[in-house]
Amino acid sequence: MAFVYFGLHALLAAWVLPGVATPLARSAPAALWIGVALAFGALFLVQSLVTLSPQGALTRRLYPWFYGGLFLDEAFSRIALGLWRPPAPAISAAPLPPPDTTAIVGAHP
Amino acid sequence: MNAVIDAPLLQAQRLANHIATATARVAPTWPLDEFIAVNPYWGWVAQPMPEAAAALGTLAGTRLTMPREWFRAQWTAGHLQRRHLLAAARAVLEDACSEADSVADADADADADANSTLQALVTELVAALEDRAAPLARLPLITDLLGAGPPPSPGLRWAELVTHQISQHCAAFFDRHQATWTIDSSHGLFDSWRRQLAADHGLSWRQGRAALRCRLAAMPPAPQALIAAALDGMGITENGREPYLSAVLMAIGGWAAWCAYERWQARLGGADDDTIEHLLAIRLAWEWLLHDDAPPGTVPPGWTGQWGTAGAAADALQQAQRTDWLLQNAIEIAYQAPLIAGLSQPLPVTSAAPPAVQAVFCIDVRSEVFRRALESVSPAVQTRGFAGFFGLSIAYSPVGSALTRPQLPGLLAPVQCVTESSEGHASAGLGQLLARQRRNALQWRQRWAEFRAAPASTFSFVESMGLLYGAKLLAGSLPSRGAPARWEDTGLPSRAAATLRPCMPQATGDPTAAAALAKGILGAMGLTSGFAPLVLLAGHGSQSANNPHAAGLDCGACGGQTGEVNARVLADLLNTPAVRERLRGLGVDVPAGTHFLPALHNTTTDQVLLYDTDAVPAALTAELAQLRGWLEAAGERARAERAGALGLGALGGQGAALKKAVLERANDWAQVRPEWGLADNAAFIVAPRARSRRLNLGGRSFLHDYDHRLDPDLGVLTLIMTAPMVVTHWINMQYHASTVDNYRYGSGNKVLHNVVGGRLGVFEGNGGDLRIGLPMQSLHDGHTLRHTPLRLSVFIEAPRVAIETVIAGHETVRHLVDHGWLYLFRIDPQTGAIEQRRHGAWVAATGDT
Repeated sequence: MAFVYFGLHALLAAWVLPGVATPLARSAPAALWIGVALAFGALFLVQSLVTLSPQGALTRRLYPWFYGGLFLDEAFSRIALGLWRPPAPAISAAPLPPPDTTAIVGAHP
Repeated sequence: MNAVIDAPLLQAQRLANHIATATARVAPTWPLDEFIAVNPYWGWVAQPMPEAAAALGTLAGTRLTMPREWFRAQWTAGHLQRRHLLAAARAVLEDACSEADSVADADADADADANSTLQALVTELVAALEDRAAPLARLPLITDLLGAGPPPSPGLRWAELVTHQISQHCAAFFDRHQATWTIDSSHGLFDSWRRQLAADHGLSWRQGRAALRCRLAAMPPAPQALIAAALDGMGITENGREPYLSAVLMAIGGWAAWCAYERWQARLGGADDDTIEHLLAIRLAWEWLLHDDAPPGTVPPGWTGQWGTAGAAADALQQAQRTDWLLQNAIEIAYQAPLIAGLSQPLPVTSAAPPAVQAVFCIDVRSEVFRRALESVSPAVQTRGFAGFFGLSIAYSPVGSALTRPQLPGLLAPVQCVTESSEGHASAGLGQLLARQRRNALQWRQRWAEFRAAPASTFSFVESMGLLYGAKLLAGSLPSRGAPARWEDTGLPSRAAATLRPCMPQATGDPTAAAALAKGILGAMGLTSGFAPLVLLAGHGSQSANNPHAAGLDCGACGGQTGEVNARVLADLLNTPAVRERLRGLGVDVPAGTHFLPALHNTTTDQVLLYDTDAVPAALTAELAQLRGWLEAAGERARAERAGALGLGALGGQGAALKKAVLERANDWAQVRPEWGLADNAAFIVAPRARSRRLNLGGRSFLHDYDHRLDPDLGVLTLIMTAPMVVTHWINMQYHASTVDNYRYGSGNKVLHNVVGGRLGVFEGNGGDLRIGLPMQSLHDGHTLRHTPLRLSVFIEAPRVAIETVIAGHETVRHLVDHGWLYLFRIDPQTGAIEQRRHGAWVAATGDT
């Protein structure tokens, strides 16, 4: 997949921007290459694991984390909303909002 | 001693009964690709509608009638008048009397007291139009009580968080079509939820995550045991358990409806499914967890006791909603009065000349407009109304595909599966060859889909391939008038696909059984003699782009599919010589010169597509050409009639321009209102077409042909009242519920919809409960409602005793009629006089003069 990705990337970059040096053409730091390779390798490993053992113990342990997006948004929301607190929601008598009554006046087509 | 032993058993039995009652109150919702209409109050029809409304108001905070502002607008516009209020008030006063005869006497005497009571009630109703409806006092759940305290996250209430958490979990659990990495569902919904919540690091818990995990681990693993423990733990008394469980389940009503669907399907197959109990256990577990975690003082001392008196609260609300129901009755009378006047007119003398074409359409309200247009184009056309699945209890499996979809009403289970064949064509075995081609093509598509969905593609696919999709994106955005490719032909060369024809193996394999089936269908249609040379069997389907609810615009009687397969299968059956030969032996003589022609009425464009015209005998070439012309002319008239409602009124007199606009609308992927579907449906007329042929029913009436003289054993009437009448009631109530409470029984704003699990339903936005019912854009044009929420008025032309026999023999029908979920009128076959069934008695109904 990674090879397909980089191959297509290079191909389309050459087609869209002929003569312009693409990021691939330039020398990138080795650490970046290693990081990208590791990321793709990890993804490949997880995909293989899930495909080969869909109900295995490790797969089941990983599922909540990946399904929850590693809970990154929760952590981010907590930090962001801790810094910039939103206004408290207004307390209303009705626990659930009633149906909209303004949009439906003047009916009977 | 026995009493001591039996006590736990009795307790368990009582709890099982409470759970069964609560879960039975939830009506199913069908998946998007089979999106048929359902009465969301179906679990409540054993109670009178106002009584059910009060219970629903108390437990779920919903209304079953429109707000007073709407009735006031009807009054101001003149649609609702004093005479309608008077009629509604008179009916309710008459019903209050125990003896119908004495009421008649009282009316005849024009008793002064009764009259003053009547006038006072009308004055009260007029005054009520300026008022507001009684507020709903929904009994609060624990999640609602916590709304007064600190939120679990900034800007989020506990009720919303709980719904979101359960909803996201259910989306993952029930997903069978979208995710490549699915949740472990082997131990059921409740167990998977418990594991997921224990591993959830996104949830803030007052006593800490460890405490939450301990609580979850200590919970009984079986749903019923959890429910019992939670009710005991919160101190819910015996008489409060049933209403509390109902309220808890309705708080997650969208997913409850999905679970009810799973159960419905299992029961159709002779099995059962308890997932809805798992869902109830999950929502109740949340209540229990929050109850025990709540800060002191959150739960008031009388909270548990309120559930024991929920019945009294509902009674009080029913009394308070009495005026709203009178206004509802009055607006329904306003619709019924002119219809009664029209239907009770003497029948015109009909021509004895045989028709040139008989065209059988679905009973759908959209067919009424087209049928009227077709009849106006040529008096030689006779149209008929029949359920659009044409009485075929079939499923359909496209050749070479693993897919099987039902092609019949959701009330029924398919009896056999049909597929295409290429028999009769030059190349033997073409079907098998095409099947192989399709399988190969589908495999390649599957591989491409997997490539796109691979984890690494998350980062790479759009970047590397996105540009190539630009052309597709551009083409889709440009106006287009072409017919979209049929998805049933996916993976088939288009020329080869045209040679395939769906057919029933019985037609040639067992013509005797096929003839028996054909006789039953023709008998139910009332078409057993006097055949025209061409008999058009017209199913219907819609055409829209980028529309998750597209199936909702197709034929409900065909399970939310188009009626193409059913029409083609039945035509093939009836054109098979061996079947006709045996039909003759059964007393139905279809002339050799008669040909059954399948067709599809496109309800978005009002075009009629004819199928299998290559099989039409050469002797009927001229008739076929003539029919094409009539259909084209009828389509133009029907489009002109519908133009105003679609906002194309300016093109009403310009046939070609209007057709172009309608065709472009059907392919416009930004169009949220391709057509109005069954909006504004209000009546179901079961009578010979002659009864309604002179009336413009405005596309608001379902029409089923029925001649009681051909039905001595009441088999057809029983079928109509137990199937099409129930289906039309479901459609009517789906529109009603989506209109009066779109928040709970509709799906909100279509622009915000996200499809869940590939086909399960939609979220409005990124979460919340699964949304069921119709989007607002299917009901409202942005300025005004396009559906008037009126209960279905059913008119049946049949002897009184026949109708009473069917009602007496079928509990569901009895509930619908006796409990006010629909109106039942009878047209006297001899005199045309109309009477209404009210509280078990027949009362003369008079229309506008």
